[in-house]
Amino acid sequence: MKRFRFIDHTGDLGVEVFGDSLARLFRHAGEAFTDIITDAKWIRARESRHVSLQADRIEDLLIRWLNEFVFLFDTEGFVPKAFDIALIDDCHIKATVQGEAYDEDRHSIKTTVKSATYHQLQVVKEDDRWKARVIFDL
Amino acid sequence: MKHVLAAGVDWTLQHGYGSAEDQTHIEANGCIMNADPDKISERALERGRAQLGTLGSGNHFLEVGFVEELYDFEAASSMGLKKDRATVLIHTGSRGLGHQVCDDYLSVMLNASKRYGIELPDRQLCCAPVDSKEGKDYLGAMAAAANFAFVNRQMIMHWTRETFGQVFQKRIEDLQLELVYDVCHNIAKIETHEIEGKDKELCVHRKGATRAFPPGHPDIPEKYRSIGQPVLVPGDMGRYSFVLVGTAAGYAETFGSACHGAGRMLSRHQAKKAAKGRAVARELEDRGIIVKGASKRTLVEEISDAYKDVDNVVNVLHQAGISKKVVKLSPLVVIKG
Repeated sequence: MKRFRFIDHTGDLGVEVFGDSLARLFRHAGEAFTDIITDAKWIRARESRHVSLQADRIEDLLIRWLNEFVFLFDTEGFVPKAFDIALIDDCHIKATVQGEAYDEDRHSIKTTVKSATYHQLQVVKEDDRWKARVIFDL
Repeated sequence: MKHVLAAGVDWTLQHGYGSAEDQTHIEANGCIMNADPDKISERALERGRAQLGTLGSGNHFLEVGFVEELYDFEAASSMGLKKDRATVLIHTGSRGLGHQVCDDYLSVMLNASKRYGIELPDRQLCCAPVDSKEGKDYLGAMAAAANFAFVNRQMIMHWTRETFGQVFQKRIEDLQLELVYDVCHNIAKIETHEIEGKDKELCVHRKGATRAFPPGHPDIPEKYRSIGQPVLVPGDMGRYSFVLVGTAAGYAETFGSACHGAGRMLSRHQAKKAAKGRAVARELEDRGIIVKGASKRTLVEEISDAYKDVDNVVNVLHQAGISKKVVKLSPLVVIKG
């Protein structure tokens, strides 16, 4: 099953994410984020960050989740690689994320992300399969 | 960081970046007065700390070029622009700090929209009345982010001058690399405009647009009072950019606003397709333009074909009388963050 695919959007970058559970949907969304900024195969899972977030609804939780990675990258250069989601429901997520700090000598930047946006945001469940659409502002 | 946000360019001057003369050539003298750093979250401050003095990616750039063509001799001389004179364009803003302010206030505004019964076509377009608590808080935070942007550009400009000084073995003061104008885009300002014969205080939100005030307006520097505010309309990295001036007609018809760039024609994905198999940097080099991008992907996404021809865009402004063409700039060196 495809984990995510990029969709066309003038000026910004859209991504559709799929998962057979909410946890997988969020994991794949995290992987899509890393794929936007760099080549994930060179990122090692060397450091951990604990992420605990809440929101009023699932769409907002997904945006918070992705913007947490924007924040970690902007402030520490941290690039996520592996996502261990301990708890997730419509309004909460608790996870341990492993990755490493961006290193110019070993990694190359594709583009940086300013923000995951609410524009055309969608999180739906179709036949036991979760699907989300997020537009990133680059 | 809070001092940067409250003081804007006063902070940069105190710390040895730029000159007092520069300050008179910056919108609002580089400090929007109602900035309220206390309305900025710790997260936004943290992103700002890490990024002050950086260009950023996407369409942000620093371009060294020259004046290729003069259209309005008088206005060009007021700005110190002569044919073949070297120019530097810097396009960057409030970086991650501004985006964090946006993210933070989106949740505030989503709640506010609900509370004030405002129906939203898209959740990214949430809003609140300007004079509500949420509206005022946001304007204070937005002004603080704008001040960060003024400081950011001023620092990069200072280092640009230093670099020119090193290369040409000259003192900064002898370079004659003077600031023409520094103006915001994507910002909301409280301004007074005439509506049906009466002066009204308005919140003018220039999104994808920049300010273009006419000759005689008190908010533009003394030096430009007779010609109008300089309006900078950058094109894509392979073609040209324009300097224009604001007009009375534009002031009446667009609340003193003009577009702030060429505008994209192709999505990033389409641009990538259009650039497939092409050596973008090499193509530009063959035309005498040196391009340095943080990544190949940026260069590919920013190819000329991805943008409208800014010549056409600027001619619309000129012919509609919204702004008047002054000079055309051609690129020599482009740095994409």
